[in-house]
Amino acid sequence: MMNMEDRIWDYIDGLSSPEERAIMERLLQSDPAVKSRYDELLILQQQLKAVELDEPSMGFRNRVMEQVLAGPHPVALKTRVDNRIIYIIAAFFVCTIGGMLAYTIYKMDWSGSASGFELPRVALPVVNWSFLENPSFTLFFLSMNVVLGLLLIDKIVTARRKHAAEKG
Amino acid sequence: MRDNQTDLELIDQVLAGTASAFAELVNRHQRYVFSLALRFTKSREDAEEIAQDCFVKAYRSMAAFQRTSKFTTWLYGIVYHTPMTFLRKKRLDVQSIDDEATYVQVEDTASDMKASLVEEKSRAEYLEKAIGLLLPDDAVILTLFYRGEQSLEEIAAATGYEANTVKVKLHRARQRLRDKLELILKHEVKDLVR
Repeated sequence: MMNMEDRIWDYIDGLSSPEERAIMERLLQSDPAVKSRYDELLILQQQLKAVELDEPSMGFRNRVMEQVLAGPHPVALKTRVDNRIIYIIAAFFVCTIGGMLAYTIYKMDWSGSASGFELPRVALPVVNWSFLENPSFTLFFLSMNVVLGLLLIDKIVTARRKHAAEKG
Repeated sequence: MRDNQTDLELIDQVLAGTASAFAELVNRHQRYVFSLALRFTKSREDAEEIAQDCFVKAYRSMAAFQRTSKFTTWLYGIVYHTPMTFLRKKRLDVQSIDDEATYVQVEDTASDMKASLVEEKSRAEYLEKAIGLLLPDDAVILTLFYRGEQSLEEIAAATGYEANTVKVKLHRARQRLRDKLELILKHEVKDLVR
């Protein structure tokens, strides 16, 4: 529950909901204490908006430009993607998949046998798992997992540090 | 001629290779960036160094600006995070008014101004002094909201907080600001009565 001062601030800053605004407007007309507080905070808000900004020293801009020009020029690493390109690519894939599906359905034999529809018999290939017995493969597989695990830990630690830095 | 161009047009020129367009961006935003930097450190030299660092970072990562927010929101995001690194590096003392030493500082400032009367000072001066006594986070949020013309959502994008958290922080910052103002005015009145 917000206190009256916070409610007045929200009203002044235009952050209150329409219902709250209506309540505040009624309160301002009926309650002199609220009105007095409102007048006081309104002055403070106007002063906050009018606080003078500080000016850096005369050569500030030139110093920035000197430093900027001494370094590399910003290169657009990623050109802005035109949405139309994405739509064209999406349309291409949708048409291709749709066409293949339509062709498959068209070519399908719908007559069936007397006993009804039967799934074609497919002989599944036997997977040869013997490669797992190869120690080099196992070592490579484990090493990759360790590297990926370390990368994940590093990412988590970096994110936590950044979060902590943001919180000050 | 560049006065009429928008920030985005200037960014396009910078990315196309016209580095001088960046000078106009610096010109436009240097006061905000410098003022924000001053909220983190009371030293003008350090604030200039931070502000300079922010603009250089902004220039170098200009290509990463995705234009999903205002340029100022993106730039203030850099400004919000750069001083943290800078202050950690320099181990500057960022004490709040609640610390004893800062109370001494307020008293000193008050006694320096003995000669002048309360009436002669505008409330704006007291306000600026009170903002200077706030914690950096409070001062930055107040500056971004009232002077940077950033909405709660934009401040959230710049600082990395949720919009609701920003709203709570804004309420607390205003409350602390009023406390500091009262404290300063109390000192001034005490000084006059002496």
